[in-house]
Amino acid sequence: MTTVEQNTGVPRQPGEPRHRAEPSAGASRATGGRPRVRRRVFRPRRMVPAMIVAAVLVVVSALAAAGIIAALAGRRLDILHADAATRWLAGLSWSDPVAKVIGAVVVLVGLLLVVTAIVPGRPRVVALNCAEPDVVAGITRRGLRCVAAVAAADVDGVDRVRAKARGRRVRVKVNTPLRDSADASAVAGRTRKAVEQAMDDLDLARPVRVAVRVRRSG
Amino acid sequence: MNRRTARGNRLGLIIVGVLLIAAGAFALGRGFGVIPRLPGGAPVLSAPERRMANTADWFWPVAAIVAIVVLLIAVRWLFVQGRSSKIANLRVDGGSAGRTRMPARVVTRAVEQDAAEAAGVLRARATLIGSRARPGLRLDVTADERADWPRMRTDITGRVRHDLRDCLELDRLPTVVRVRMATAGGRNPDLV
Repeated sequence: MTTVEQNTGVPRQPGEPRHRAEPSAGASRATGGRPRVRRRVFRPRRMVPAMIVAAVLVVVSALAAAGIIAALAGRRLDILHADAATRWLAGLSWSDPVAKVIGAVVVLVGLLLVVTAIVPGRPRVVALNCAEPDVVAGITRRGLRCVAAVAAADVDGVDRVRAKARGRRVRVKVNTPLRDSADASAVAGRTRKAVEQAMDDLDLARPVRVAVRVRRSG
Repeated sequence: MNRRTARGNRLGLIIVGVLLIAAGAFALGRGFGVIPRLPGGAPVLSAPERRMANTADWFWPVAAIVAIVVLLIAVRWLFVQGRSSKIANLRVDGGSAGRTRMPARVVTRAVEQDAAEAAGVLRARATLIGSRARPGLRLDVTADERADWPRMRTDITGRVRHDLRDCLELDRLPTVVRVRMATAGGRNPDLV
C-alpha cells in the first residue's frame, strides 16, 4: 500500500453535455425546468433550530405570563424570581463587563439564527434533471455515493472502492492490485471516466466534480 | 412536513434573530457609551423605570398581553412542525347525487405497485400531497444499485405518473420523486 495517484476531473466543458450551469428560462423548460422550485423542495426545513427557539419562547413567555397574571390577581407566583432579577438589574450598570458579555452573547445568538435562516443548507437529496414539467426528482446523497461506487467497482483493475459525495464533489478512492504506477494512473483515468459517465446517466441538475484516488495495494 | 413550514421556520428564525441582534447591539452600545444621551454608567434598570412600572396602570396588563401573544405564536410555531401536506381522502366526482370520497390509500397503493414494476425499482412509497382539488404526488423510490436510470426515469415520470393523472382526471400532477439506493451507499459489502 503505497503510492497515491490523483486524477481530478474538471467540470464538463461548456457547450457539451446536457447539464451545464443554471439553464436560462427557455432551456430550463426543456430540461424539466423551474430550478427554483427544484432547489427549494430539497432544501433543509430547519426544523430543529425552529423547534428549539419555539420551545424556549414557549417556556419563557408562559412563565412570564403566569407570573404577571398572578401578580395582577394579587397573588405571588415568583417563578422567575422577578424580585431578585429586578434587584440585580438595578445594581448592574450598562458598562459592567457582565452586561457587555451578555449583550455580545445575545448578538451572537441572533446572528446564528439569522445565518441559519438565510443559508440554504446542505440538502440530503441531490436534484436530478427531468424532462417532464411538474416533476422534481432527486437522489439521496447516499444513493449518489452508491452509484459512484458501483460504477468504479466495474472498472478493470479496481478491487476496493470507497466513495463520498459532499457538496458538488464526488470523491472515489479505489485500490488496485496493479503495481506499475503507469497502470495505476490508467486505472485512475478509467475510473474517473466510468464515474463521470454514471453521473451523466443520472443527469444531475448541477454537475458534480469527480475526483479519483488510486492506491496500489499489490 | 410541508414547504410552508420550511418557509415559516426560516422567517421565524430571522425575526427572532433580528430582535436578539437589536437588543444585544443596544446593550453593547450603551455599555460602550456610544449611544448619545444614554450614559453607559447608568444601571440597566434605573429608578425612574422601576417607578414607572410600578405606578403606571397599563404597564403590567400590557406586559401580560405581550407574554400571552408571544406564547400563542410560539405554541403554534411548535405545532406546525408536525404539519404534513398529506391528503387522506380524495374527492371523486359522483354527479349531482352528492360527494363521493375515496381514501387516498387506494390510489397510492396502486401507484406503489405500478412504480415497483418500473425498471430498477425495488420498492416505492407514494403519498398524495397538496389539496384535494389539486393533489400532487410524492414518490419515494428504493432503487437497485445497478438501475438503468434513464429507463427508470421515463418509466416513473412517464407511465406511472400518466396512469395516475388519467385515473384522477387531472391536467397537472406536480410530482416529487426521491430516489434512494437499496444498499448502504459507498460501503457496499459486495464492493469492498
